[in-house]
Amino acid sequence: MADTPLTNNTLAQQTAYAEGRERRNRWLTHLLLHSILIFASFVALIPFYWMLATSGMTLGEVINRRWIPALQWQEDFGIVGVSAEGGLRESRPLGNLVEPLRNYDRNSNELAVFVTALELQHPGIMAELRAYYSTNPNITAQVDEWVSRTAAIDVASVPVREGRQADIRAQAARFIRDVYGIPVHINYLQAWDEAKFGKYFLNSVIITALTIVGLLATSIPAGYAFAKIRFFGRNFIFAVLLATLMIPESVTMIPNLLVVKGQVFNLPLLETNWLWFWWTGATPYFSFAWNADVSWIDHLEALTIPFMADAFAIFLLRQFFVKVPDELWEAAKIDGCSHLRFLWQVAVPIARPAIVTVALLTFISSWNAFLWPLLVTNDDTWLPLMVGLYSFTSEAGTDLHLLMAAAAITVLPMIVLYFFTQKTFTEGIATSGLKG
Amino acid sequence: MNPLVVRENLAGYAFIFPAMVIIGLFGLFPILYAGYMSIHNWTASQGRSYCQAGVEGIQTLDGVGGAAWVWQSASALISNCLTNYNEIIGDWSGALFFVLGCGLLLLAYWLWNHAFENFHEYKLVYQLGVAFAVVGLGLFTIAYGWAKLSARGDEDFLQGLVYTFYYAFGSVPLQLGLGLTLAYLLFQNIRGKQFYRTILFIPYITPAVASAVVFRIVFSSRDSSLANQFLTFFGGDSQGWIAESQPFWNALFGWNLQGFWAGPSMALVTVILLGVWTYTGYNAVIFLAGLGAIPIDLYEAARVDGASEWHLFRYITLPMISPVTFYLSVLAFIGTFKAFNSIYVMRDAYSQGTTDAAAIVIFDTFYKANQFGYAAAQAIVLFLIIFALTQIQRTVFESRVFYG
Repeated sequence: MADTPLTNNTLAQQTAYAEGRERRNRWLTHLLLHSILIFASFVALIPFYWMLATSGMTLGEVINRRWIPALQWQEDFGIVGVSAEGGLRESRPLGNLVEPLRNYDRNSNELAVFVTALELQHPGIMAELRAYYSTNPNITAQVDEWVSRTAAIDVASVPVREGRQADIRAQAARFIRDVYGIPVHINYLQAWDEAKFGKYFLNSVIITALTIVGLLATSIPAGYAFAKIRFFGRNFIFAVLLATLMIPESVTMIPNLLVVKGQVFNLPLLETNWLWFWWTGATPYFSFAWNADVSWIDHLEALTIPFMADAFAIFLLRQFFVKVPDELWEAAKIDGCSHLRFLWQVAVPIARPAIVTVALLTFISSWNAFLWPLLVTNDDTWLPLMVGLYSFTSEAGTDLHLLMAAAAITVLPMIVLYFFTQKTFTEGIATSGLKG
Repeated sequence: MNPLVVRENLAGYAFIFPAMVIIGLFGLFPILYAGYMSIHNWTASQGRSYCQAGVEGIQTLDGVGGAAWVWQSASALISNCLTNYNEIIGDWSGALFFVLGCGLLLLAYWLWNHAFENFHEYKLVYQLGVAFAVVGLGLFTIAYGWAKLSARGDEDFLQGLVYTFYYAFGSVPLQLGLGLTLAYLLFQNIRGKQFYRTILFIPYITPAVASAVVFRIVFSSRDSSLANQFLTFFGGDSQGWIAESQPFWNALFGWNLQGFWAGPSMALVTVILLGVWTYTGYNAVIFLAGLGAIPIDLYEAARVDGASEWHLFRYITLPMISPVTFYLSVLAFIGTFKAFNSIYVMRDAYSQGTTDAAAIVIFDTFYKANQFGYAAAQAIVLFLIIFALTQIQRTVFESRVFYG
């Protein structure tokens, strides 16, 4: 006969066994899931890692296919590179120095200039070299000879041609950089100053800011009107507005370029560059022109005004303003409130999330704009960052470290913004399907 | 008129005025003007020249008079105004065959779904037979039409359309499939969901030009490029990537296919990789939102009935997520057909124009060759294709979408 306690016991055992198996299975599944997701994240991030790593390298490191730049701590520079032994870290063997040293005539003054420049840039480098080759008496002897030659000469007064002297110093500087790595921000400084990315950055900031302000100024009233004001032809105009969203940029860019060149009709142009006056302290002048000669090419107008109203932004805002209850407006109207005042004091505060989303989307599209700025900028007066980066790809040539520093400059503001406004960012983009 | 109504109207117009001026000028006017430009021989150096030949046609027929004169001069004018389009299409009968072939493919799809509902025995046999026959006929008609088109049409532009096709059908299914997979994994109640989501979204918010610049270097043809280091590390050969004009079947496996089946060049495959890298995370995030909206009791009920994980995915998740899939695929197809920025930056001289999708060809015609009227005509043709594609997606595939 069936023994009840025993059956219960077996059941409990079975349950415990099943639970254990399930837990183990779940653990394995999660391990698998995480490894796939980690791999995906890795793929998503590796280009960024590579960009940032390369932007901190020297040309030598780039060529030697380094994965990690040799950064060290130095008092005046911040992060710079350290080796495992605590000394200066080599990104290229110190022994490479022997070759350029041998290339100089051993009795020449040029050799002395070179060695002095090396010692000046990195004191103790010859001693390090001697220690590096301590097992090779030939080379140590040679190093000793080079050092003694240099010590015997007063470098400041040696007869070396002026231009040549600068060349030698430059070679020494390049060598030190290649061996010991560089301060992390040096490439950024170079991209910022010499490659003019500072200027492009500022241009982009100004263009983006003006576009956002202009777009909000036109689209908020328009969105409100389409939602809350009854006027003749409202639905028809709104439908036409939405229809323009379908048209690709390829179609509109051609006529638009002729328009901003002033070839279709005359354009107005206010020839005042306030920021320029503010920086230089020059006397501001105004010249207003509205004639056949006016072209907006290389002017701020061409980069901002076409984007100062957007059908999609109006659509988004309208959808939000529609939700504002009609009773609110009726009540306000009875109290003698105008539409403008109602918009400003009631509707805009209610629609703040939508406005933030619109501003964010405008920021993204304006910051990323490439095709149109490429068409309407010939010189770098108002050249934005994206076009600057594109033209730098051909100018930079093999200087990948500079190119990557420049790319990082264009990317970082967007990443920073993303991390600060993540929720708005993701939701705003998810609702809009921006870029496609 | 009621003064209050007048005031309301005036307020409305005043509120929309600034926006309408700008959109009218830079959004609406260009559409009409592009149409106007596209029927003219319009170059940067010479400006516009009207449909001259059409006018001449009218003059030579001056003496005839009557209905025949009106008909002939009108048709002469129209055909001359369509000069740009003639140059692109080359052979209108080719275009007709091509459209007919696409129609046959759609017919096959319809037949597959609807024509055999009353068949009970051998349903699959009939379905397969008819579908194969119609699809075969459709493909043949398309090939025939395309051959006619490319024999006399604009070679660069038509080839650009083929590259666009490769780009779209190479990247969209991949990015949607990977996106859905990642979303499904993220949906499994795991730790760090928010973290993974944040990371996966980053490629999408990176400016397209910047990511293309980085990809250019990661996928450069040098042996020292990251992609080639990776390949050689796993024992493969270095590839030319963005500088490789060989079709990728040929470059990777040595298969030498011809014509359309030769597939995208290695350079275009690199561009496709960039597209997939950029949009997979975005799709995953949108899919994840869609997955969250599926009622949980559906799964519970199915589990009670003994459904396996695969069944849950196939018969609950996929149908319930189909509106999102539809939305994303429409968006992605439009996006790939318009794609310019990333392709333009990724363009390499050594790839010999094998990455030049339609939007790039239009840009070249417009900006490099300065043929404004012709570029406008090309752009309008591209727009019509995009429009037709979206309409097909709307009418044909939206019926498959389950809106709950």
